[in-house]
Amino acid sequence: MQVTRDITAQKRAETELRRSEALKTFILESAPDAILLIDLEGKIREWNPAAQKIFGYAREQALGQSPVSLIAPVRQRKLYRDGLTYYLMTGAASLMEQPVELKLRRADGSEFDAEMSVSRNYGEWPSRYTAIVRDITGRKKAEAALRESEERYRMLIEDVKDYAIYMLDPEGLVTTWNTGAERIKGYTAAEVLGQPFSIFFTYEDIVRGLPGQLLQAAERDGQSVHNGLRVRKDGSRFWTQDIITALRDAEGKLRGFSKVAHDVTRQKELDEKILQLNEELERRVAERTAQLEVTNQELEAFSYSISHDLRAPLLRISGFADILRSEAAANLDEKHLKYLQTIVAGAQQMSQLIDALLDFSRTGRTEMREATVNLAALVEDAQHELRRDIEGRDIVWRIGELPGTRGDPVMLRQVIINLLSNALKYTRPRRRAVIEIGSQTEAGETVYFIRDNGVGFDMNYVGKLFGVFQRLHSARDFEGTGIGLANVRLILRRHGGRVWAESRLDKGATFYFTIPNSTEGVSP
Amino acid sequence: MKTSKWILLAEDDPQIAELTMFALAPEDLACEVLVVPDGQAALDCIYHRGEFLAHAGGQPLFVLLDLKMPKVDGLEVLRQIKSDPQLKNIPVVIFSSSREPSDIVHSYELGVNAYVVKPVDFQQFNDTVKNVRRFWAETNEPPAELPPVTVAVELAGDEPLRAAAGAS
Repeated sequence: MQVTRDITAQKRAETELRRSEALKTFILESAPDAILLIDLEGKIREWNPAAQKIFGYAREQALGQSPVSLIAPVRQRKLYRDGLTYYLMTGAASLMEQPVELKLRRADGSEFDAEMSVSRNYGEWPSRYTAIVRDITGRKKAEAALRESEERYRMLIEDVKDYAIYMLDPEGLVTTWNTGAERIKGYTAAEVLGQPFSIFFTYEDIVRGLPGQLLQAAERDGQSVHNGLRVRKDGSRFWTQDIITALRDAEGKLRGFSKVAHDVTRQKELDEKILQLNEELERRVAERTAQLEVTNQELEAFSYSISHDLRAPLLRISGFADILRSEAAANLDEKHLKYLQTIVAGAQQMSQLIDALLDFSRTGRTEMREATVNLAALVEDAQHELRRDIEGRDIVWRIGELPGTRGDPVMLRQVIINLLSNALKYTRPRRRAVIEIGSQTEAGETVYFIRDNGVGFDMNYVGKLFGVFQRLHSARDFEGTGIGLANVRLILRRHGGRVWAESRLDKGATFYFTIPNSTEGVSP
Repeated sequence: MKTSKWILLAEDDPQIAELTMFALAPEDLACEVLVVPDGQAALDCIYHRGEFLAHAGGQPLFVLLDLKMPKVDGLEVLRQIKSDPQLKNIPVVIFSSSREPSDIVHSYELGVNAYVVKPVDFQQFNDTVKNVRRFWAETNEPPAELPPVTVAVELAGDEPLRAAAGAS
């Protein structure tokens, strides 16, 4: 019984041992960290697959080697060996139970960052120490990158000169300070760190609790923006735009605030200047408009009085000359009758001039009425209107494409009539007149033209062409009041369009005009 | 003024008044023309008041009224005549050198019987005045044989407004 029980116990112990060995082997083989077992002579007694992978030495190459000669960087071998000897001899706690970061060497000679912890074994293992090595190259790189990024960020912020950028703790005390802050506010970092940020506010703002309100708003809404006056160290004030952003940690706990302030004094001054200039401009426009209104009223009164007062004397001239002729005809000879006739004719001509001038003044005063205008129809209409100048003459008409437009139909009709009437008038000496009416597109703009083969004019005087009472031909050759083209120009100007002319003496003339609302879409 | 047939002419320009008189030739009609130099006098005359208190000639055959006159202008005279039930049947002809659309429209709004533009040429003037006289003083009906005296005024884009002393 005893024996049996002993055997059973021994067997159970053996089974237990095997299971323990199997577990250790499993741990050794599956651990992601390199596990080295080192005996009391400082030789490697175990080298797991992770160690093989991390260092590049096979188990057979590593077993029995000194870890220092195997994995310590060449230049630090002595240091490491002394250290290991020291640790092995003394069992000093500094390396024990507490991981250290150090450089280790791979089989190919490259070095890497490692974290190593060494612990003393208390089992029946032939080795005395276990070293666990973790490759922390990735972690180190990440840390370095983070440090670098933080450094870069810090330098960036510190070097910003136009913006005061600084941090506040949750209580509103200044924790960082950049160059811009120093430049704008006048405080050095040493003077301001740990101070409440309310020192930058005006007395009035402090009294009404603005600094606290801004922080509360930022805490509540994530950000608060405020434009207002702030105070520099020297007491002077400046306009700023403050942006306060609440900073929270991963758990959402308030860690503090970042504050970006921009000195907008100059901007503000410019804004005020612009505002002032605008007001000035508006005032002057209003003044000018009032003046123009007065001028317009005066002009209207002027035209009105011309229409009344200039006609009456003409009627007297015409009337009494006529009565004189009829009553004294018996006593007058041919010559004197002709004088009287000249007086009457002069009065008539003056009356026509007055009418033309009044028409011109009315063109400028009449309110425009916009409609769709079919220019091709206007040309036909004008031909009908001018039929007395057309009948009995040999005229070749070349009428091209005339896109429609928006405009005042009555006024544009006058334009076409005046231009056509001119073309008819100045082609009169031609046995066969050729009048061309059409349009072309120049730089996306429809340009209408009326071309004739008439007597033309000298381009040196083109500047006079569109003036009131300006005539380039004598009244003996070509009748007219000198108002027609002035009217054309006035009407087109009122439409926002232009008119110009090209000619050579005796080589015909072309009149061009544009109306801004011309569209290819509205076709005749 | 004992005669019952008379025409009132309101015209501030004495020479134009003389030419108008010449054209009206009242002696042909056995009719008198009373000439006044302003609107105030025209109204006094129609209402038989002021210096016209003793004037017992009744109502004129028609009133030939200039627009632009001192004191009271033609439009005001027209307005007063046409808004008085006793007087509104008196024919009023505006005879003005103005072709301003505003004057013409305004006159018609106030109920003018005809708006006639003064021709500057005296022969036309003469014909026009004679037509006016013939229509408003003699027939008061459009005489068929006479060419109508027509004034066409273009009112910026509208159909021509025709003001006729004869027929149109």
